[in-house]
Amino acid sequence: MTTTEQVTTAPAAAAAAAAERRRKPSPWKRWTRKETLAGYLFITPALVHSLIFIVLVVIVSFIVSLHRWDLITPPVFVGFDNYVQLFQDELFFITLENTVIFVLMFMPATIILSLSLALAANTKIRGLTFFRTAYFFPYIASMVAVAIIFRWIYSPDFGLLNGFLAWFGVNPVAWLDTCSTALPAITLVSVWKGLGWNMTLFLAGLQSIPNHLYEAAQLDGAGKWRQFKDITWPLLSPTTFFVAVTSMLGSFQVFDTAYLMTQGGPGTCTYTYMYYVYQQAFRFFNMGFAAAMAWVLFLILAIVTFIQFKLLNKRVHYELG
Amino acid sequence: MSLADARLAPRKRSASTGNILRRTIAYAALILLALISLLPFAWMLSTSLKQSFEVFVFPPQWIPAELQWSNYTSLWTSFQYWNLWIFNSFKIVAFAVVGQLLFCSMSAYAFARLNFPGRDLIFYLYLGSMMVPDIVNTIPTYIMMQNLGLLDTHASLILPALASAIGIFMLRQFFLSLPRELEEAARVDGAGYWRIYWDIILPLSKPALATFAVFLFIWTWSDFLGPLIYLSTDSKFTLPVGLALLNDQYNSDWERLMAGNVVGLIPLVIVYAAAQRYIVQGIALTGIK
Repeated sequence: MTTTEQVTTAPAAAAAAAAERRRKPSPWKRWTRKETLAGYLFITPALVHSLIFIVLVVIVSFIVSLHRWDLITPPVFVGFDNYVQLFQDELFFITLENTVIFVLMFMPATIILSLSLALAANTKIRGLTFFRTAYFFPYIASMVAVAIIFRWIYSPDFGLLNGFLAWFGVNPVAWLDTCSTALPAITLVSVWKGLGWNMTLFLAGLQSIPNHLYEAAQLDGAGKWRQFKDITWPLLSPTTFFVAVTSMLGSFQVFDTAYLMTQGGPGTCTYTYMYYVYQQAFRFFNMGFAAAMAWVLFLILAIVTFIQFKLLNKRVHYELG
Repeated sequence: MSLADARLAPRKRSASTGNILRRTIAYAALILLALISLLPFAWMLSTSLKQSFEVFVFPPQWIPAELQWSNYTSLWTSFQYWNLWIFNSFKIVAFAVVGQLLFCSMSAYAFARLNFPGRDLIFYLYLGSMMVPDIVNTIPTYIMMQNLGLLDTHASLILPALASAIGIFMLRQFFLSLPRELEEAARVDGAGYWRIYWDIILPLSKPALATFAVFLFIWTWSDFLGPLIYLSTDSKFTLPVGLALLNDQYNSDWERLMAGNVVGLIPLVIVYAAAQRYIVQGIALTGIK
């Protein structure tokens, strides 16, 4: 360790250090090189990993999408044929439509419910720890368990939901076997499962809003609604934006709810995009076609996220005032 | 909880009717949603202790007349691979958690504290890579594992899980929030980068590392698509895929399936309960919000 280095580290002496650095460039340079080397060494393990499992596989994925390949016979180069086929495939559009409907039901429900819940939980009330743990329970449970439980809840003959509705004179509904109710039913399960997680995100956002703002607003005589509209909502917007983007990315890739609860049925009513990719890749072994589908999904997500950024980002307040 | 509560510490409490009404509504909503969150699990637990003829009685009998603990013991006696599935799940989770805590925190330290050419570019590439849907990677990873002869081994699940962009991102955000004074003092004393990372940064970051480890535990333990794709031999399955297999094979055996699911949930509940009080602050500090 040289003197130069010690000085640079003290923030108060930053200017003096800069001057000294200009006078004596060589030790600074040597130190910089050491820091560069250290930096690269520190990121090397994760970087090697990412070069293989992110960069390489993304490239390979694109190359595969240009081939017809069943993993047994050698791949045949077909150019963009898989993409052309995709747009002539009826199931592609059906699964895409199902997925978009799922997303459009999932996102507003998730944001409204988890924000309301976070607002209710962000007050000084008894049993807060209990409530937070309770809401987090569905999130930590594995989807396999959740799917079994909800198949019982939705069951037409002895399910909890029909039993409950029967008190109000409603006739039994086969929730998962009726086309119009199956997709909303599995959407509800996904919303229920993610609620605790999204509420926790909102809660963290709410707690980072400084309390003195509310005190000042109260002194000015602002009511609860005004406080929410003028303080909470704008200052919470980075959280809301994060929840909107992540829940959009996540819900477009819905797979296990559909796989475990309905196998895409009845008919193709809950057949989601990811489920179709999974079937194409690991059931029918149409690797090229599946890779093309994955890339189209990537493209769709990139476009939708870009639009979200453009539309919402300018309304996000990252700083106070 | 104390830190969170202190920050919540209210605003003057007035005893106006509006206030009481609001609190009542808030309580009612919280309790209702807690019931909706927990009732399915209560049913799971209760079913796991029933005899089969009691399972579908409506309204549900929450406490069975006679507790059937044999539903649990029979998991071990009648499912050949039950112990192995539990062990496999723990093994994969352990590798993922240890690998990510080490590799992600090393990268995060470099991104947060060290200056080197290309640092920001690489970091933004990591951020961008979080946008790539998993399935884009899954197909070529599967092909790669097949070529390496690693299909149907745990390595095919462990290797891709040893580092992640989200881990690097979360921990970097936390490291940025740490005060620099201690590091500077250590540097004056002649500590190198590794010493600073290992002896100062990591011990200071226990809440963030714990939060990340808990989430990683939950995500890896519950991962369904990965084991479903890469594993094909029953004895190599993880618990969720094993349970899904039982679900197919013993469709009508609800009470035993539920017992199995309760067992699968226990590790997650323990891990979550142990870290519960760090999690809200942990999320705030690691910058996912």
